[in-house]
Amino acid sequence: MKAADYYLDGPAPETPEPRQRQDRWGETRVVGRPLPRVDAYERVSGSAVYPSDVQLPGMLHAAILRSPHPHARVKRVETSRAEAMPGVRAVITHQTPGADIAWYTDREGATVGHLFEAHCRFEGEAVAAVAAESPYQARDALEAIEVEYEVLPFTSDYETALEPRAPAVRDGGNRASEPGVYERGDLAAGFNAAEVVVEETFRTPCELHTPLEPHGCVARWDGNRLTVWESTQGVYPVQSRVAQVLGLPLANVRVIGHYVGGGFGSKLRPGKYTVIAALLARQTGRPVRLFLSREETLLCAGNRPANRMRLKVGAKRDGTLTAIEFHGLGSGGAYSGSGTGILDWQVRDLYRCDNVRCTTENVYIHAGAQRPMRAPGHPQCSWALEQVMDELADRLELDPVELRLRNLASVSQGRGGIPYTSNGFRECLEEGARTFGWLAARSRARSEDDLARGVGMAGGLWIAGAGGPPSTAIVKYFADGSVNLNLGASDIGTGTKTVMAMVVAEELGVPLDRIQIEHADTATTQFATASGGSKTVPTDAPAVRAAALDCHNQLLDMAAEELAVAPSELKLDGDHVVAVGDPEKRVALREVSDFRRRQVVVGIGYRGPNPEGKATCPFAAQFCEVEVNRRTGEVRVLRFLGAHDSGRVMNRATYDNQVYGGIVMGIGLGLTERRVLDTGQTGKMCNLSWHDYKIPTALDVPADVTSLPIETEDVECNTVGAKGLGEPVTIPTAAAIANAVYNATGIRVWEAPLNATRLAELLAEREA
Amino acid sequence: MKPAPVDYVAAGSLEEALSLLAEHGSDAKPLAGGQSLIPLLNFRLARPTLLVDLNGLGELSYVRDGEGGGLSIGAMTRHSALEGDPRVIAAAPLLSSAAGFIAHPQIRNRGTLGGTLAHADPAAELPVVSVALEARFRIVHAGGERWAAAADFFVGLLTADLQPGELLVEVEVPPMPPASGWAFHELARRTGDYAHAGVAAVLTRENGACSRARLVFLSLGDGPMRARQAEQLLETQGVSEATIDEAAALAARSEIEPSGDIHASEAYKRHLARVLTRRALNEAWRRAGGAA
Repeated sequence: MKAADYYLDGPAPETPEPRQRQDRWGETRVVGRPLPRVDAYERVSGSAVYPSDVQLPGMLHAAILRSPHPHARVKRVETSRAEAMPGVRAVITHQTPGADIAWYTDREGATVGHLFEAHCRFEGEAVAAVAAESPYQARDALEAIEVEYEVLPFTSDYETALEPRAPAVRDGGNRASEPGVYERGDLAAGFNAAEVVVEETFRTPCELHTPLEPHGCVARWDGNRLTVWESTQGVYPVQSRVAQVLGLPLANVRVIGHYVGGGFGSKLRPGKYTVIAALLARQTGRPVRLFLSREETLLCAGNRPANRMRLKVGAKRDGTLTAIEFHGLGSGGAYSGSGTGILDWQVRDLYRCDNVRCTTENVYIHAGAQRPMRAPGHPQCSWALEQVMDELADRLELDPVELRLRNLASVSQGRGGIPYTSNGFRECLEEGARTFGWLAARSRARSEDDLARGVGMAGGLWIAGAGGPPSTAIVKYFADGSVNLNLGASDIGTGTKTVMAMVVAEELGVPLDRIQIEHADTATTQFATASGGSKTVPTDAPAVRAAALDCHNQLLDMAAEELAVAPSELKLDGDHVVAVGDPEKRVALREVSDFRRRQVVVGIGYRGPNPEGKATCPFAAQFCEVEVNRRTGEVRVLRFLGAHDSGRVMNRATYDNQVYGGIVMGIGLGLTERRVLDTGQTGKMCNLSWHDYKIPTALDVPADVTSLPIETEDVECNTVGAKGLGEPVTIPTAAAIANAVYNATGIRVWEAPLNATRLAELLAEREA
Repeated sequence: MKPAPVDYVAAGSLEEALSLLAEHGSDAKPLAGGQSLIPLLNFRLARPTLLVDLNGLGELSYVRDGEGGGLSIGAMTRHSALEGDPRVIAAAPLLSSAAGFIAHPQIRNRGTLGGTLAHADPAAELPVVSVALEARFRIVHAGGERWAAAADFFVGLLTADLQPGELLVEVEVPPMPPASGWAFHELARRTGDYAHAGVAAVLTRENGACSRARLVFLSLGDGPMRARQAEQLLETQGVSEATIDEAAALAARSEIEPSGDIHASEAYKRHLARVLTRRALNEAWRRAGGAA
């Protein structure tokens, strides 16, 4: 299993080897500093144009009619009344010529769902779409479309989906695939050797991505060329899918991303909305804007599947793990068989253990399809694994940090025992504990009146975060010393543009305000994979560095001729080239005659391959302190510390923002977020709003959050030494909270989010 | 979503507003802060044909000294004004304190006292406070006016004693009796959410005893839920740790009608009612100068 499977259709073709020797960076001048974002002004002033801001002359507004039932057959769709309404320019359904498009396929490539589906398998399945002069007219027209549904029985509880009486989501039943099995060593022998065994069942909720900018696009045709402004994490995956579905040459599909208001994995690929907008635009001959409503984004733009996990861990008295058995169950919804993707990875890889068996089962339910969500599988697994480790430490009377230190893995066991290019897990645990004041906090008084305080911690790693080819970047160095940086990657809010500009500044000595960035546009920027998997910096920064070095070397070559000094004896010094041993020998770049004639130097950089036979992973340990009200079950998170080994810190400010954001998201998993389906009567979603789907607000998270970079030097992973950061920062958070609640109250809550009602009940039982 | 088509008039005067409301009857909706009406329109749960916007009626936004130390407050007074107005803080601290629990600052800057009372949401703070403080409401229509007591005004779920064409324009808050203490507590899953449960308490101390108790709950029934038996218990048996416990248990057991929802079960809401009542009564009694 490779994390890349989640983000790419197949193995990545490698780009050419970088043409330049790339020495390891010593002391850096720019990289690593906490510099403000290069686009900060645009973002905060509102002048940044997000795809949902795009307004084109003559643009129509579209909306999608969706099945209100989790399972129904469309017997009749009557659109004539809608078509006659004021402002309505097009209504399309599965019966519209050209709109009968296959959308979902199974593993064998057989079609299992269409763009507009007459057999609706989840609440929110697209049935028809409208384009009108105003968004209001489009919404009004949706209400005028008459649909006769035959409402069918549904299955919305993944835990009972395999029972014989559960209505089938697919013809073949609700089992999505044969159970996945991973095994190493001798499990029975491992448990026989154990002196302590902990076994528990855990549940994590279905979480929703909830990016601030809804999913959608603006589509415009110019003859047979289609341009799409899409809110996306990757313009190229959108281009390839849209071209494939519409039967267009890739070159005829231009996808422009630029800004994107968050994605968290739900915008790695185009949605049906992209193709529907293109169809409506073609039919009307007008540009069409189609952005989902907030409710639609909650129903049909992906989710993190709920999981039930059974975990059994055996250990010796000294804490050495002897056996781990894991079983995971999940559902990717009606159209994805992946409800447990990379769910068991940390069981396989995080702690040293010779005897491991993991099984995973996937079922279908009548609900929207999952999409990868920030560290797919990992926070769920952490919720189980890190609570079991905490319990084990308790039973063995060991400090939880110490127990983990006794079980550090020296190699990647899940990959057959290959070494890591770097592994800072020990330092995350040790330095994290030290900076947090772990030992002192553990021994502090726990309670005062109704309030009990406790501390907890959890470790983690992320399967991916190495990045890799392909990536191509272009740096144009102009005669006046200003620079264009051209790369295809999206900046999904993480600071990609800023970090890449800093890499250019590092190599060429150009101030950041002299660097302009072109990115995320299939027509004008280089191929890039989607920004996901915590791989944008490790994938694209080496290519950017190579492109900058290519410029650098060309400039030195030209100056060498001018100065009659070998290029190897020269260095760039601001806008001058200077001889290393003789500072008198210098020439201003603008005086270099070759350069003046050419006006621009174009550097091309490629991402080279990753080292063979080695694994690259980010590691994490997080610590927190909570206050539990023993009467009401309220849990207040007082402070958090994230110690993260993601290799080199490229920009301390954007780095810290990732840590804060990941912890906030993890607090949501631990305490408040869950999709609720009415499994009994209707199968519909009960909390279809940001009011009832509870994302923590700024007032619900601690002000006291510390980011502690563990800056492990990794000279092998790539030429900038950075590993992924965006996902590991949210992996251990929820588990750390659960462990802190246990420390405060002596009560373990196995089901996330930690429910105040349940906790209050358990606390009351304990008092009684 | 977006609202269904609706006509809109920004009323230039109270008379104009009343005449439009009279003319259009139940098809018209007065628009105050829009705290609840705008979401209802956007979700298309409400489909009036006419919105009569009251936001231009500056004459309905005021806080004035009322009779005997009480207050007269215009219906278009914003929650944020109640929260920060020194006269409200001094004369009706329960009201200003409770206003601070409403949603988020942006919403408190728009939402109005009259709007939240007329909307009669059982999860709203100010209806409960108005009952606890025994406020009276001046209600006008095109032909005249009447007064309604808060205790009689909230008749059911999202239903107030207001006829089509009528407008609540003023709230009269009587002064709290001397040696009175108050408290407001609520508990929500997140800051600014509708509370799972909440309570307003006012206790008056006379010669060491409790001469008057008011205990009213939010989010635990179809409207403000007044716990008369618990009040009576405190008024007859005095305030002590034991009677507070007893009153809290009584109110939580038999004077509220909570229903479970996806965020909190009925049992948990009853449990919270009891915990919050104990907190509120202790605090109110301390403020009244007593010691439980």
